[in-house]
Amino acid sequence: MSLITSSPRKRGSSRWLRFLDSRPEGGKGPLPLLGGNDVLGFLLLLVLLPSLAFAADRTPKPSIVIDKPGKCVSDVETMRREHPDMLKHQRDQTMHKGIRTPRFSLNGCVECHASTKTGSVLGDQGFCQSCHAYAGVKLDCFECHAAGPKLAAGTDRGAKP
Amino acid sequence: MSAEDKSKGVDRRGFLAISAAALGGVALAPGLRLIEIAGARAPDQAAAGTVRWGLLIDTNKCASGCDDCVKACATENGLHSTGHPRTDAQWIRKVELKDLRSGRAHSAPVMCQHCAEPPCVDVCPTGASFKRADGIVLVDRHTCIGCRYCILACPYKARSFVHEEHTDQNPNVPRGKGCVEGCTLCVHRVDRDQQPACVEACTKADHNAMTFGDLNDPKSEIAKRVAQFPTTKVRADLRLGTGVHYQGL
Repeated sequence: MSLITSSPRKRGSSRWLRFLDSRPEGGKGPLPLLGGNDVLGFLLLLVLLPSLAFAADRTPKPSIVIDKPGKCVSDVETMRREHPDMLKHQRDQTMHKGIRTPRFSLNGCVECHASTKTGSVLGDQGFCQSCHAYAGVKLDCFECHAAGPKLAAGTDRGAKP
Repeated sequence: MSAEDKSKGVDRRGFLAISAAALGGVALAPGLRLIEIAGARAPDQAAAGTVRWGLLIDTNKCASGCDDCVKACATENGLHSTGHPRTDAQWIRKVELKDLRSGRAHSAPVMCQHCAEPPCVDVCPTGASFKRADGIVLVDRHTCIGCRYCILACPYKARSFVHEEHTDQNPNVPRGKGCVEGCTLCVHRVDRDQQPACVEACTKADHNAMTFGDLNDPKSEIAKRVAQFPTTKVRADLRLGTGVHYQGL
Protein backbone atom coordinates (compact mmCIF):
# COMPACT_ATOMS: atom_id res chain seq x y z
CA MET A 1 0.00 0.00 0.00
CA SER A 2 2.75 2.40 0.99
CA LEU A 3 4.67 1.51 -2.19
CA ILE A 4 1.86 2.73 -4.40
CA THR A 5 1.28 6.00 -2.55
CA SER A 6 4.99 6.93 -2.45
CA SER A 7 5.36 6.48 -6.23
CA PRO A 8 6.12 9.80 -8.07
CA ARG A 9 3.34 9.12 -10.54
CA LYS A 10 0.68 6.48 -10.97
CA ARG A 11 2.34 3.31 -12.14
CA GLY A 12 0.88 1.58 -15.17
CA SER A 13 -0.70 -1.79 -14.73
CA SER A 14 0.41 -3.26 -18.07
CA ARG A 15 3.72 -4.99 -18.51
CA TRP A 16 4.87 -2.41 -21.06
CA LEU A 17 4.18 0.50 -18.73
CA ARG A 18 5.97 -1.28 -15.93
CA PHE A 19 8.92 -1.77 -18.30
CA LEU A 20 9.03 1.96 -19.07
CA ASP A 21 8.87 2.75 -15.39
CA SER A 22 11.82 0.49 -14.70
CA ARG A 23 14.12 2.86 -16.59
CA PRO A 24 16.70 4.76 -14.53
CA GLU A 25 16.04 8.31 -13.32
CA GLY A 26 12.57 7.51 -12.18
CA GLY A 27 11.41 6.27 -15.56
CA LYS A 28 12.76 9.18 -17.60
CA GLY A 29 16.14 7.81 -18.78
CA PRO A 30 16.80 6.24 -22.18
CA LEU A 31 15.31 2.84 -23.03
CA PRO A 32 17.74 0.23 -21.67
CA LEU A 33 18.09 -1.65 -24.96
CA LEU A 34 19.22 1.43 -26.84
CA GLY A 35 21.91 2.44 -24.32
CA GLY A 36 25.43 3.16 -25.66
CA ASN A 37 26.94 -0.10 -24.36
CA ASP A 38 24.08 -2.21 -25.68
CA VAL A 39 24.69 -1.13 -29.29
CA LEU A 40 28.18 -2.52 -29.01
CA GLY A 41 26.82 -5.72 -27.51
CA PHE A 42 24.31 -6.06 -30.33
CA LEU A 43 27.05 -5.68 -32.97
CA LEU A 44 29.14 -8.28 -31.17
CA LEU A 45 26.18 -10.67 -31.19
CA LEU A 46 25.71 -10.11 -34.94
CA VAL A 47 29.33 -11.11 -35.54
CA LEU A 48 29.21 -14.11 -33.25
CA LEU A 49 25.82 -15.49 -34.25
CA PRO A 50 26.85 -17.37 -37.42
CA SER A 51 29.78 -18.99 -35.66
CA LEU A 52 27.47 -20.09 -32.82
CA ALA A 53 24.95 -21.48 -35.24
CA PHE A 54 27.49 -23.67 -36.97
CA ALA A 55 29.21 -24.92 -33.84
CA ALA A 56 27.88 -28.43 -34.27
CA ASP A 57 29.80 -29.88 -31.36
CA ARG A 58 28.02 -27.71 -28.84
CA THR A 59 25.53 -30.47 -28.08
CA PRO A 60 26.87 -34.00 -28.00
CA LYS A 61 25.14 -36.29 -30.51
CA PRO A 62 23.10 -39.12 -29.02
CA SER A 63 24.90 -42.40 -28.70
CA ILE A 64 23.17 -44.91 -30.90
CA VAL A 65 24.75 -48.23 -30.06
CA ILE A 66 22.85 -51.31 -31.09
CA ASP A 67 24.33 -54.33 -29.36
CA LYS A 68 22.17 -56.77 -31.25
CA PRO A 69 22.61 -56.01 -34.93
CA GLY A 70 19.72 -57.09 -37.09
CA LYS A 71 16.78 -55.74 -38.98
CA CYS A 72 14.40 -53.40 -37.23
CA VAL A 73 10.68 -53.62 -37.98
CA SER A 74 11.03 -50.80 -40.50
CA ASP A 75 13.79 -48.71 -42.10
CA VAL A 76 15.71 -46.17 -40.02
CA GLU A 77 14.06 -43.03 -41.46
CA THR A 78 10.56 -44.41 -40.87
CA MET A 79 11.46 -45.56 -37.38
CA ARG A 80 12.91 -42.19 -36.41
CA ARG A 81 9.85 -40.34 -37.58
CA GLU A 82 7.04 -42.77 -36.88
CA HIS A 83 7.95 -44.83 -33.83
CA PRO A 84 5.73 -42.84 -31.45
CA ASP A 85 2.71 -43.42 -33.66
CA MET A 86 3.53 -47.09 -34.10
CA LEU A 87 3.81 -47.54 -30.36
CA LYS A 88 0.69 -45.56 -29.60
CA HIS A 89 -1.38 -47.50 -32.11
CA GLN A 90 -0.13 -50.81 -30.80
CA ARG A 91 -0.68 -49.68 -27.23
CA ASP A 92 -4.41 -49.15 -27.79
CA GLN A 93 -4.75 -52.38 -29.74
CA THR A 94 -3.10 -54.37 -26.96
CA MET A 95 -4.78 -52.62 -24.06
CA HIS A 96 -8.34 -52.59 -25.35
CA LYS A 97 -8.50 -55.51 -27.75
CA GLY A 98 -5.86 -57.85 -26.41
CA ILE A 99 -3.97 -57.91 -29.70
CA ARG A 100 -0.41 -58.89 -28.82
CA THR A 101 1.43 -59.04 -32.11
CA PRO A 102 5.19 -58.78 -31.59
CA ARG A 103 6.01 -56.37 -34.44
CA PHE A 104 5.27 -52.99 -32.86
CA SER A 105 5.30 -54.06 -29.24
CA LEU A 106 7.29 -51.94 -26.80
CA ASN A 107 8.62 -55.14 -25.23
CA GLY A 108 10.01 -56.07 -28.63
CA CYS A 109 11.82 -52.70 -28.92
CA VAL A 110 13.25 -53.02 -25.44
CA GLU A 111 14.42 -56.59 -25.93
CA CYS A 112 16.52 -55.64 -28.95
CA HIS A 113 17.63 -52.17 -27.97
CA ALA A 114 18.46 -52.60 -24.28
CA SER A 115 22.18 -52.28 -23.76
CA THR A 116 23.88 -55.56 -22.96
CA LYS A 117 25.97 -53.76 -20.34
CA THR A 118 23.20 -52.07 -18.36
CA GLY A 119 20.30 -54.22 -19.55
CA SER A 120 18.29 -51.04 -20.15
CA VAL A 121 17.26 -48.58 -22.83
CA LEU A 122 17.74 -45.80 -20.26
CA GLY A 123 20.85 -44.14 -18.88
CA ASP A 124 23.11 -41.61 -20.61
CA GLN A 125 24.16 -44.14 -23.22
CA GLY A 126 20.78 -45.87 -23.36
CA PHE A 127 19.21 -46.23 -26.79
CA CYS A 128 15.96 -44.44 -25.93
CA GLN A 129 17.13 -41.92 -23.38
CA SER A 130 20.22 -40.59 -25.15
CA CYS A 131 18.22 -39.67 -28.25
CA HIS A 132 15.27 -38.28 -26.32
CA ALA A 133 17.64 -36.14 -24.26
CA TYR A 134 19.21 -34.82 -27.46
CA ALA A 135 15.83 -34.04 -29.00
CA GLY A 136 14.48 -32.62 -25.74
CA VAL A 137 11.43 -34.89 -25.80
CA LYS A 138 10.11 -36.26 -22.54
CA LEU A 139 10.28 -40.02 -22.32
CA ASP A 140 7.68 -41.30 -19.90
CA CYS A 141 7.06 -44.85 -21.17
CA PHE A 142 9.44 -46.26 -18.61
CA GLU A 143 7.81 -44.75 -15.58
CA CYS A 144 5.54 -47.80 -15.83
CA HIS A 145 7.05 -50.09 -18.48
CA ALA A 146 10.13 -52.17 -17.80
CA ALA A 147 13.18 -50.56 -19.38
CA GLY A 148 14.90 -53.86 -20.01
CA PRO A 149 14.19 -57.53 -20.50
CA LYS A 150 13.39 -59.48 -17.36
CA LEU A 151 16.59 -59.80 -15.37
CA ALA A 152 17.49 -61.99 -12.45
CA ALA A 153 16.33 -60.58 -9.13
CA GLY A 154 18.61 -57.99 -7.58
CA THR A 155 20.32 -56.98 -10.83
CA ASP A 156 20.67 -53.22 -11.11
CA ARG A 157 19.04 -51.84 -14.20
CA GLY A 158 20.20 -48.24 -13.88
CA ALA A 159 18.33 -45.12 -12.88
CA LYS A 160 15.01 -44.10 -14.37
CA PRO A 161 14.66 -40.62 -15.88
CA MET B 1 -48.38 -59.81 -57.21
CA SER B 2 -47.65 -61.75 -60.34
CA ALA B 3 -47.12 -65.48 -60.37
CA GLU B 4 -43.46 -64.93 -61.12
CA ASP B 5 -43.00 -62.69 -58.07
CA LYS B 6 -44.80 -65.23 -55.91
CA SER B 7 -42.49 -68.03 -56.92
CA LYS B 8 -39.50 -65.75 -56.33
CA GLY B 9 -40.82 -64.99 -52.83
CA VAL B 10 -41.19 -68.66 -52.03
CA ASP B 11 -37.71 -69.24 -53.33
CA ARG B 12 -36.33 -66.60 -51.07
CA ARG B 13 -38.19 -68.00 -48.10
CA GLY B 14 -36.97 -71.46 -48.95
CA PHE B 15 -33.45 -70.21 -49.21
CA LEU B 16 -33.71 -68.49 -45.83
CA ALA B 17 -35.10 -71.62 -44.23
CA ILE B 18 -32.28 -73.73 -45.59
CA SER B 19 -29.61 -71.27 -44.54
CA ALA B 20 -31.14 -70.96 -41.06
CA ALA B 21 -31.10 -74.73 -40.73
CA ALA B 22 -27.51 -74.81 -41.92
CA LEU B 23 -26.50 -72.13 -39.44
CA GLY B 24 -28.30 -73.95 -36.65
CA GLY B 25 -26.38 -77.06 -37.54
CA VAL B 26 -23.13 -75.24 -37.35
CA ALA B 27 -23.98 -73.62 -34.05
CA LEU B 28 -25.52 -76.67 -32.37
CA ALA B 29 -23.78 -79.82 -33.50
CA PRO B 30 -20.17 -78.74 -33.42
CA GLY B 31 -20.71 -76.27 -30.59
CA LEU B 32 -17.17 -77.13 -29.77
CA ARG B 33 -15.98 -75.49 -32.94
CA LEU B 34 -16.87 -72.04 -31.66
CA ILE B 35 -15.03 -72.85 -28.45
CA GLU B 36 -11.95 -73.97 -30.28
CA ILE B 37 -11.81 -70.62 -32.05
CA ALA B 38 -12.34 -68.75 -28.80
CA GLY B 39 -9.76 -70.77 -26.90
CA ALA B 40 -6.91 -70.55 -29.35
CA ARG B 41 -7.09 -66.92 -30.34
CA ALA B 42 -4.41 -65.80 -32.75
CA PRO B 43 -2.20 -62.94 -31.49
CA ASP B 44 -3.63 -60.57 -34.12
CA GLN B 45 -7.24 -61.39 -33.26
CA ALA B 46 -9.18 -59.10 -30.97
CA ALA B 47 -10.70 -60.45 -27.76
CA ALA B 48 -14.13 -61.77 -28.65
CA GLY B 49 -17.44 -60.87 -27.05
CA THR B 50 -18.50 -64.50 -27.35
CA VAL B 51 -16.16 -65.34 -24.48
CA ARG B 52 -16.90 -64.49 -20.86
CA TRP B 53 -13.91 -65.21 -18.67
CA GLY B 54 -14.75 -66.17 -15.13
CA LEU B 55 -13.39 -67.67 -11.96
CA LEU B 56 -14.96 -70.22 -9.67
CA ILE B 57 -13.62 -70.38 -6.13
CA ASP B 58 -14.51 -73.43 -4.05
CA THR B 59 -14.36 -72.24 -0.45
CA ASN B 60 -14.60 -75.83 0.79
CA LYS B 61 -11.16 -76.46 -0.63
CA CYS B 62 -9.67 -73.10 0.24
CA ALA B 63 -7.69 -73.57 3.44
CA SER B 64 -7.63 -70.90 6.09
CA GLY B 65 -4.21 -69.28 6.27
CA CYS B 66 -3.10 -70.48 2.83
CA ASP B 67 -2.00 -67.57 0.65
CA ASP B 68 -0.45 -69.36 -2.32
CA CYS B 69 -2.67 -67.40 -4.73
CA VAL B 70 -1.75 -64.06 -3.17
CA LYS B 71 1.96 -64.85 -3.38
CA ALA B 72 1.68 -66.06 -6.98
CA CYS B 73 -0.16 -62.86 -7.91
CA ALA B 74 2.56 -60.71 -6.34
CA THR B 75 5.32 -62.60 -8.14
CA GLU B 76 3.59 -62.56 -11.51
CA ASN B 77 2.58 -58.92 -11.42
CA GLY B 78 5.65 -57.53 -9.68
CA LEU B 79 3.82 -56.33 -6.56
CA HIS B 80 6.48 -55.66 -3.99
CA SER B 81 6.21 -54.23 -0.54
CA THR B 82 7.24 -50.59 -0.46
CA GLY B 83 7.64 -50.66 3.30
CA HIS B 84 4.26 -48.98 3.74
CA PRO B 85 1.83 -51.87 4.18
CA ARG B 86 -1.19 -49.59 4.57
CA THR B 87 -0.84 -48.22 1.06
CA ASP B 88 0.73 -51.19 -0.75
CA ALA B 89 -1.19 -52.31 -3.80
CA GLN B 90 -3.40 -55.31 -3.16
CA TRP B 91 -4.83 -57.11 -6.14
CA ILE B 92 -6.01 -60.18 -4.27
CA ARG B 93 -6.51 -60.80 -0.56
CA LYS B 94 -7.62 -63.64 1.62
CA VAL B 95 -10.81 -63.03 3.55
CA GLU B 96 -11.75 -65.15 6.55
CA LEU B 97 -15.46 -65.42 7.33
CA LYS B 98 -17.12 -66.96 10.35
CA ASP B 99 -20.75 -67.48 11.14
CA LEU B 100 -20.79 -66.59 14.83
CA ARG B 101 -23.89 -68.66 15.61
CA SER B 102 -22.89 -71.92 13.99
CA GLY B 103 -19.13 -71.38 14.08
CA ARG B 104 -18.82 -72.39 10.44
CA ALA B 105 -15.74 -70.70 8.97
CA HIS B 106 -14.84 -69.92 5.39
CA SER B 107 -11.72 -68.65 3.79
CA ALA B 108 -11.68 -67.28 0.27
CA PRO B 109 -9.60 -65.05 -1.95
CA VAL B 110 -11.30 -61.82 -3.05
CA MET B 111 -10.12 -59.87 -6.04
CA CYS B 112 -11.70 -57.78 -8.80
CA GLN B 113 -14.95 -59.61 -9.51
CA HIS B 114 -14.89 -58.57 -13.19
CA CYS B 115 -18.48 -57.35 -13.22
CA ALA B 116 -20.62 -57.37 -16.32
CA GLU B 117 -21.88 -53.94 -15.21
CA PRO B 118 -18.81 -52.54 -13.48
CA PRO B 119 -19.40 -49.46 -11.29
CA CYS B 120 -15.74 -48.50 -11.71
CA VAL B 121 -16.35 -48.05 -15.43
CA ASP B 122 -19.48 -45.99 -14.79
CA VAL B 123 -17.69 -43.45 -12.63
CA CYS B 124 -14.40 -43.15 -14.54
CA PRO B 125 -14.17 -39.59 -15.92
CA THR B 126 -11.57 -40.41 -18.59
CA GLY B 127 -12.64 -43.84 -19.83
CA ALA B 128 -9.49 -45.38 -18.40
CA SER B 129 -11.49 -47.95 -16.46
CA PHE B 130 -13.06 -50.18 -19.06
CA LYS B 131 -14.40 -53.65 -19.71
CA ARG B 132 -12.87 -55.70 -22.48
CA ALA B 133 -15.12 -57.57 -24.90
CA ASP B 134 -14.38 -60.84 -23.10
CA GLY B 135 -15.48 -59.46 -19.73
CA ILE B 136 -12.11 -58.58 -18.19
CA VAL B 137 -12.26 -55.23 -16.38
CA LEU B 138 -9.03 -53.26 -16.72
CA VAL B 139 -7.46 -49.86 -16.13
CA ASP B 140 -5.81 -48.19 -19.10
CA ARG B 141 -2.95 -46.46 -17.31
CA HIS B 142 -2.30 -44.30 -20.34
CA THR B 143 -5.53 -42.42 -19.67
CA CYS B 144 -5.86 -42.94 -15.90
CA ILE B 145 -5.43 -39.62 -14.07
CA GLY B 146 -5.36 -41.21 -10.64
CA CYS B 147 -8.58 -39.59 -9.38
CA ARG B 148 -9.54 -42.78 -7.51
CA TYR B 149 -13.29 -42.49 -8.09
CA CYS B 150 -13.24 -46.16 -9.10
CA ILE B 151 -11.69 -47.14 -5.78
CA LEU B 152 -14.66 -45.57 -4.03
CA ALA B 153 -17.19 -47.00 -6.46
CA CYS B 154 -16.01 -50.61 -6.22
CA PRO B 155 -18.08 -52.53 -3.67
CA TYR B 156 -15.36 -55.19 -3.43
CA LYS B 157 -12.46 -52.87 -2.54
CA ALA B 158 -10.63 -54.45 -5.42
CA ARG B 159 -8.69 -51.44 -6.67
CA SER B 160 -5.47 -49.94 -5.36
CA PHE B 161 -3.62 -46.73 -6.03
CA VAL B 162 0.10 -46.80 -6.66
CA HIS B 163 1.68 -44.26 -4.33
CA GLU B 164 5.34 -44.85 -5.02
CA GLU B 165 7.65 -45.13 -7.98
CA HIS B 166 8.50 -48.61 -9.16
CA THR B 167 11.54 -49.74 -11.05
CA ASP B 168 11.41 -53.50 -11.36
CA GLN B 169 8.25 -54.22 -13.30
CA ASN B 170 7.51 -57.44 -15.09
CA PRO B 171 7.85 -56.51 -18.80
CA ASN B 172 4.33 -57.87 -19.32
CA VAL B 173 2.81 -55.96 -16.41
CA PRO B 174 3.64 -52.26 -16.62
CA ARG B 175 2.76 -50.36 -13.46
CA GLY B 176 3.86 -47.12 -11.91
CA LYS B 177 3.14 -44.24 -9.60
CA GLY B 178 -0.04 -42.22 -9.94
CA CYS B 179 -2.43 -44.77 -11.43
CA VAL B 180 -5.13 -47.03 -10.09
CA GLU B 181 -4.76 -50.74 -10.64
CA GLY B 182 -6.43 -54.00 -9.80
CA CYS B 183 -6.61 -57.68 -10.73
CA THR B 184 -6.34 -58.05 -14.49
CA LEU B 185 -7.18 -61.77 -14.43
CA CYS B 186 -3.57 -61.96 -15.66
CA VAL B 187 -4.76 -60.69 -19.01
CA HIS B 188 -1.26 -61.03 -20.50
CA ARG B 189 -1.35 -64.73 -19.70
CA VAL B 190 -4.99 -65.23 -20.73
CA ASP B 191 -4.19 -63.69 -24.13
CA ARG B 192 -1.53 -66.38 -24.52
CA ASP B 193 -3.90 -69.21 -23.54
CA GLN B 194 -2.51 -69.55 -20.06
CA GLN B 195 -4.33 -69.54 -16.73
CA PRO B 196 -4.11 -66.64 -14.28
CA ALA B 197 -1.15 -66.99 -11.91
CA CYS B 198 -3.37 -67.50 -8.82
CA VAL B 199 -5.27 -70.36 -10.43
CA GLU B 200 -2.08 -71.98 -11.64
CA ALA B 201 -0.51 -71.76 -8.19
CA CYS B 202 -3.62 -73.15 -6.50
CA THR B 203 -3.74 -76.09 -8.90
CA LYS B 204 -0.01 -76.69 -8.70
CA ALA B 205 -0.16 -76.89 -4.92
CA ASP B 206 -2.97 -79.44 -5.36
CA HIS B 207 -5.58 -77.31 -3.58
CA ASN B 208 -7.73 -77.09 -6.71
CA ALA B 209 -9.90 -74.43 -5.13
CA MET B 210 -9.84 -72.16 -8.19
CA THR B 211 -11.14 -72.78 -11.69
CA PHE B 212 -10.69 -70.38 -14.54
CA GLY B 213 -12.47 -70.56 -17.86
CA ASP B 214 -15.08 -69.32 -20.29
CA LEU B 215 -18.49 -69.14 -18.63
CA ASN B 216 -20.13 -68.90 -22.05
CA ASP B 217 -18.70 -72.21 -23.18
CA PRO B 218 -21.00 -74.99 -21.90
CA LYS B 219 -18.22 -77.54 -22.34
CA SER B 220 -15.71 -75.72 -20.15
CA GLU B 221 -14.98 -77.03 -16.66
CA ILE B 222 -16.14 -73.79 -15.04
CA ALA B 223 -19.45 -73.63 -16.90
CA LYS B 224 -20.16 -77.27 -16.07
CA ARG B 225 -19.49 -76.71 -12.40
CA VAL B 226 -21.52 -73.52 -12.27
CA ALA B 227 -24.37 -75.45 -13.88
CA GLN B 228 -23.99 -78.41 -11.50
CA PHE B 229 -23.34 -76.86 -8.10
CA PRO B 230 -24.97 -73.96 -6.28
CA THR B 231 -22.68 -70.97 -6.48
CA THR B 232 -22.91 -67.49 -5.04
CA LYS B 233 -21.78 -64.12 -6.21
CA VAL B 234 -20.60 -61.69 -3.56
CA ARG B 235 -23.15 -58.90 -3.11
CA ALA B 236 -25.42 -60.45 -5.72
CA ASP B 237 -28.06 -57.94 -4.59
CA LEU B 238 -26.15 -55.25 -6.48
CA ARG B 239 -26.81 -57.21 -9.70
CA LEU B 240 -23.42 -56.41 -11.17
CA GLY B 241 -23.13 -59.77 -12.93
CA THR B 242 -19.76 -60.66 -11.47
CA GLY B 243 -17.48 -63.03 -13.32
CA VAL B 244 -16.13 -64.49 -10.08
CA HIS B 245 -18.33 -67.16 -8.53
CA TYR B 246 -17.99 -68.71 -5.08
CA GLN B 247 -18.97 -72.25 -4.24
CA GLY B 248 -19.73 -73.27 -0.65
CA LEU B 249 -20.17 -69.80 0.77
